[in-house]
Amino acid sequence: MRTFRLYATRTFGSLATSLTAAFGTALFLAATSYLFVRALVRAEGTVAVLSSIWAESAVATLPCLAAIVTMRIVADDRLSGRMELILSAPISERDYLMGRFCGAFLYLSLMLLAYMAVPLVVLPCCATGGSSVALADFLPALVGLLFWGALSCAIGTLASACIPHAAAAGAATMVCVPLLPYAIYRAAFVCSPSVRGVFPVFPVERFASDAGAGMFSFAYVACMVLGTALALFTASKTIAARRFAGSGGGVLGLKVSTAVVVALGFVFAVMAAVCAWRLDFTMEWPLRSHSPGFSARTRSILADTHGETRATCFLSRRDPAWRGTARLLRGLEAAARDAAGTRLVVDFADPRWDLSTAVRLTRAGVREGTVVFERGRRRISVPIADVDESACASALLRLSLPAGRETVYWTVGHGEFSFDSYDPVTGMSTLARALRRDGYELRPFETAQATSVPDGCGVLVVAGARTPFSSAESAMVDSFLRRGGRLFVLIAPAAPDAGLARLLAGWGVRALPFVAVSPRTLDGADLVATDFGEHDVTRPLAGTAVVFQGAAPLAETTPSAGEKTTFTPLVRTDETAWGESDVTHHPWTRDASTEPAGPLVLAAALESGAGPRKDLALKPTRIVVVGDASFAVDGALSSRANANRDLFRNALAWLAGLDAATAPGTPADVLVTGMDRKARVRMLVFSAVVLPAVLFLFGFALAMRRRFV
Amino acid sequence: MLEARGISFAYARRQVLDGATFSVASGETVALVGANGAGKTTLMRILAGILLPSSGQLRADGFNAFRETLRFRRLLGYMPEQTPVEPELTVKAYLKFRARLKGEQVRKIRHRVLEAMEACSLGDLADTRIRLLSHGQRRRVALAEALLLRPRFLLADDLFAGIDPATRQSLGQTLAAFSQFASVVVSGHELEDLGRVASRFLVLKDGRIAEAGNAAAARKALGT
Repeated sequence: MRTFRLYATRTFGSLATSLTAAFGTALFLAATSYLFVRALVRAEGTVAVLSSIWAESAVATLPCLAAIVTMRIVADDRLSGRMELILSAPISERDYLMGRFCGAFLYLSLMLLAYMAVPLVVLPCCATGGSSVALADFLPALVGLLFWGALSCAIGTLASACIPHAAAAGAATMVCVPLLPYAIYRAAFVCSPSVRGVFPVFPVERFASDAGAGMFSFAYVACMVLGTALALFTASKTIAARRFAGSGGGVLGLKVSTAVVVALGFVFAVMAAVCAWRLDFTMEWPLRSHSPGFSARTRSILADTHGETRATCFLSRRDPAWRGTARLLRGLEAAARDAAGTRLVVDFADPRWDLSTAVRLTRAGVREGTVVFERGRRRISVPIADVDESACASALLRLSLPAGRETVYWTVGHGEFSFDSYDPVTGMSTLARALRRDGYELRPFETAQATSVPDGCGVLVVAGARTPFSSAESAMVDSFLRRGGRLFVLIAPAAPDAGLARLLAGWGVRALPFVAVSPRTLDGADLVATDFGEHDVTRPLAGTAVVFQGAAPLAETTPSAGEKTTFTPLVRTDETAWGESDVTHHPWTRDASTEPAGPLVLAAALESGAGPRKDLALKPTRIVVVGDASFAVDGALSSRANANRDLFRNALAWLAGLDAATAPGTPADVLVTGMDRKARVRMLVFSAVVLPAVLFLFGFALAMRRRFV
Repeated sequence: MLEARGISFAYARRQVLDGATFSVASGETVALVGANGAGKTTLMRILAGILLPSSGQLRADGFNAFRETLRFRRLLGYMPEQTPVEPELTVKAYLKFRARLKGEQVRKIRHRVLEAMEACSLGDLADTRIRLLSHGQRRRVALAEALLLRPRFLLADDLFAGIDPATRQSLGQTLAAFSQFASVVVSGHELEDLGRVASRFLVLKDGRIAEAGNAAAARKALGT
């Protein structure tokens, strides 16, 4: 213990006053902080966990710091001849090595704490109005990184014990810890589909990400702890082997015994990891609240539905999606209990272990890899790839509603955006999936070949038509509307006169030939709108934001139909926005003489004859027009957690006559930093330049003090 | 008493020691001499427990030093051929660190360090960083380190290498004063200087030890 303490203190002291270590630390902090800020910007508005981003950013750089701090700790003793004194002193190699290792690990841990200042100190200073950041949230991530750091330090110590040249030892550590495993993983990922299935991301990144979310897989922990122990054991034996330099039999025996122990340890580590992986031994961090934050929509559905609903996760525990799904379902179960609404009973059925349940579900036609929601005799299966909070909430909602499905006809033949396409710019498949889960049936409708809109059409959707409808088509739609039809029009980008422009003008709305732009933007080209009208569609969206990309402003016109139409703005820009006539020339500036000033209406609802027709039990005509068809394409919905999807869903629900606009489906735990571009640059400068520079200067001062004082 | 019997050692295929046998009584100082590459440093390292021989025994005060290694190392002071001291530490800090490492009680460390520094005439250099010392001064630091806990067995490899005559004399006097309580083995090439501190010579030739009474006999045995 004495030796251990002495060498730990000595190693830490040497590192703290080492110019190389100070430089390495500054580089580590600069690189890691840069990665963190970059990842933070990308994750803004998504449901990513801040502490997971923090931990993932250090996965690649931490071994490099470990390589720098450990490369000299044994190699220098060998090179300078101090090893002779160490071996002749009354101490054991193990104590000496453990002391060296722990000194380096302590230094590494302190540098991780310094890196912790980036999210805990720099981020709150640079960002205003963002999500709150608490130290306790980062403790699991810190522990996860400490495991990884310990393994890196142990391998660095082993390299330093084996290779007398410090730089070569450092290079060997960098190759052995981050590069070689990553290269093996990439090679296996490319060659084997099964690896792709089991490890969709680099396992260490996944471990760090899970740790950030407060979950520790025993498999990873076992691998790291045993890896650390084996590396230190081998390093200790490498030093001990120096005593056998002239004894062929002795050194052979030592090598063989070491190899046997390492092999046995490796086998044990693999077995423990496989066993833990199969049985999914996962520890959850006790300080953290594990229930995921659910959206207002989900909480509302859970509170409004009653009776017992059973959710069965029919999935192998070895499946990579199992853990996330299990966590989501358990969270829903707890949230349902808190909401005092439906009694959600969650069940897990592994096809290889729970045979009776597996047989029951298979006989009922349920396939493996689904989550089954059952209520009485009704059942909804959600494929595991689609399972998320929104899908589960939709399934619960559908089970609580009557079994009928509203049919939505989607026009085709005019360059419309397709609900079957996965294209991020013109595809609406993400939205279509959500609508189907909500109980809608989507059908394509070729207007050119039809003489009338089908009788069963609940809502007719014209999403981004680029060419005008013919007179016959317009007349057909007009006739549909006069019968109390419901129309949902999304204006195509830069084509305000296409589609049903003439028809819409007759019903009281037209799109202006401008593009709405505003200083309130996320990436410079888009526009963030937070001003919602007082309407069933937008009432629940207060406090959220809808993001448009090249939206055409809408204006109210005098209806020619002869019937009074109510025009209600749904979404407006703020005063700083204006209608830009030429978006191809930057910078955009408003020409006050020709271009309209904000606030501009970007989405509007029209209702005709609501009062008397309601009295007569007839359907009033309803039209919703949004000036931007791309606001609900796949790319817009996947990039950020905005309220675009909710606006579309609520508008469709209002048009379908459900009059049951739901709360926003945006998850409650969306990552919001509230940083604009200036704040991001400021944070990057502080975290990747100022903080590393301060630490380097501190280390430099200590090194100079040691050298000259 | 330090007693080596049949110590053999080989680097790969080269036999360096071939059944070296000798003994050093308590209070006796012997000089180990030999040509370059004869195996002096290897033998000293084996005696210090740094290397294990392929065969042979080493008994220290009756116990097997190769088996009870930690016990033997507690009684041992070793001054290696090189001077592997910590360059960034002061002389006093280095000796304190080594004293603690060797297991000395905290309350006695200060006394031990002062005693060793005084014995090696290092009092003026106590607060000087080791990297600023000359080679001779560093050798004195290394000797002070070896003498720290008043070891029962002292091994000084190439004691006078690169040392000026005045320092040799000083080191010789220190060693002579110390050797009254311990078994001392010093190695080197300076037969005359070694003759002043050692009572007899051990000549290492062809991996074996031959006894020589004085420097002249040793020179004769070496054939120089």
